[in-house]
Amino acid sequence: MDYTFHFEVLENYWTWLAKGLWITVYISIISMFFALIIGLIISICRLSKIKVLVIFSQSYIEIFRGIPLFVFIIWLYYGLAMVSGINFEPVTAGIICLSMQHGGYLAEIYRAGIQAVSRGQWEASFSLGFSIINTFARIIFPQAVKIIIPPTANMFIGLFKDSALVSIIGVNELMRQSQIATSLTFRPFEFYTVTAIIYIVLTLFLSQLAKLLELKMSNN
Amino acid sequence: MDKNIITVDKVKKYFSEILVLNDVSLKIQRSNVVVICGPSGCGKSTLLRCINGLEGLNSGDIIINDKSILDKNKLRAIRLELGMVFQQFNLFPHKTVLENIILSPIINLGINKDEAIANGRKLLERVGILQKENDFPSSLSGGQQQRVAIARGLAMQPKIMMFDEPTSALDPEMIKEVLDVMIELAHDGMTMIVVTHEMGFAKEVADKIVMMDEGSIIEESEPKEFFGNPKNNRTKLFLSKILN
Repeated sequence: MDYTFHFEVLENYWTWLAKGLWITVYISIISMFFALIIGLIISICRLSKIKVLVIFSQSYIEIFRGIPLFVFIIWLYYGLAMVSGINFEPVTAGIICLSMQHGGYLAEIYRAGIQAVSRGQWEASFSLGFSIINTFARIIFPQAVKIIIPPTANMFIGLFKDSALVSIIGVNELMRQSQIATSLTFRPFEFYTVTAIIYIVLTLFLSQLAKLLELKMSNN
Repeated sequence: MDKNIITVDKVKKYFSEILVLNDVSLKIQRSNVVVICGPSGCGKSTLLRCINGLEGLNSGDIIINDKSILDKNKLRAIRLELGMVFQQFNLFPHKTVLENIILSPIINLGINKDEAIANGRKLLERVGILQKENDFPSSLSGGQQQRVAIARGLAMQPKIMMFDEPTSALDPEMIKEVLDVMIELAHDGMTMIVVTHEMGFAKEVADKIVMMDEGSIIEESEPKEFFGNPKNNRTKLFLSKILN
């Protein structure tokens, strides 16, 4: 191996990478926020007794389970824009794709959590005169949350890593910044190694956080 | 006003293809205690669940305090008049004992919180577990949980209390503490429908005992008659099994 490492080139690019990291974090958090809402809506549809809503939610889940995120991003940003004339900002397009796909995953997590609450809880609540909305909001969902939180935290880690894919449509997040820096310096190994390490460190941090949450949940 | 607070009229109920209630008719008067018994699978629990609308009917009607269970707009009003106690207690595990009791009166009856708490404490005292008001249900014994469940039902000031095998999930030594609460309630004049195998309880407080088998009521009589001179052979067989 006659490659000479030049990690010192990174020195001029730290703020450049930091800016990318900030956008990665920003996109991840916003996308997660919307994914949580989408997931809740889809799971409620899935568990409802209204046939149209059930079919809609099932289709949603199957479509987004089946479509690779990479394909979805390109389809939305280039394909759909061509047909509909809607030109999303790259960041907006990225957030839409991430939140819609992960909303589908979350819907299944929610569904499992809600179904894990015993039927007797619904019945006791109905018998006391609670409406279906109050039953869900006050009795069922608070119990389901305990079951939902650990897998949701893990899913957020997945979303955080998936966000690297939006570099393909020119969002200046961490991966994209790293690519640009590479093309300017011809130092792919150095930049991509550091980028990978940043992802790993943050993922480690998040998974520790998830573990802590899980521990707290099981103690309650 | 009808002297019957509950009228079950020719109710049929299927679970998919299986007929679980076959033309069941039953009248229950105010302040009466009606005990429903019968072998498992006879439809006794289903009948209770039909009365408070947890199960729909395939045909027939149930009138509760002049309101039909078939009227979807009245379902909640009916449920507010019916207290229900389940075999598995079904307390809300994420709420304390007191919160379990006051939540519904506050939300569904619009009672203010202080009043609901005062009322809830009175009920907890009545069922003998005031000292546990800030505990979570999981730290209570089965008998204690069931007494909380009874207090939770009573907090809604229902006109009728229904019990679906309230002691079947309890250890033997805890059965009495729950039955004692129920007996006291009966003596206070509460209208009660109790699905149970506790024949001692039935003898002591029931005004009427209803025997069900295979989805039908096969015998309906006062305790003296029911235990002393049962007419139906299946009742005799059931009694011989359960009393020995």
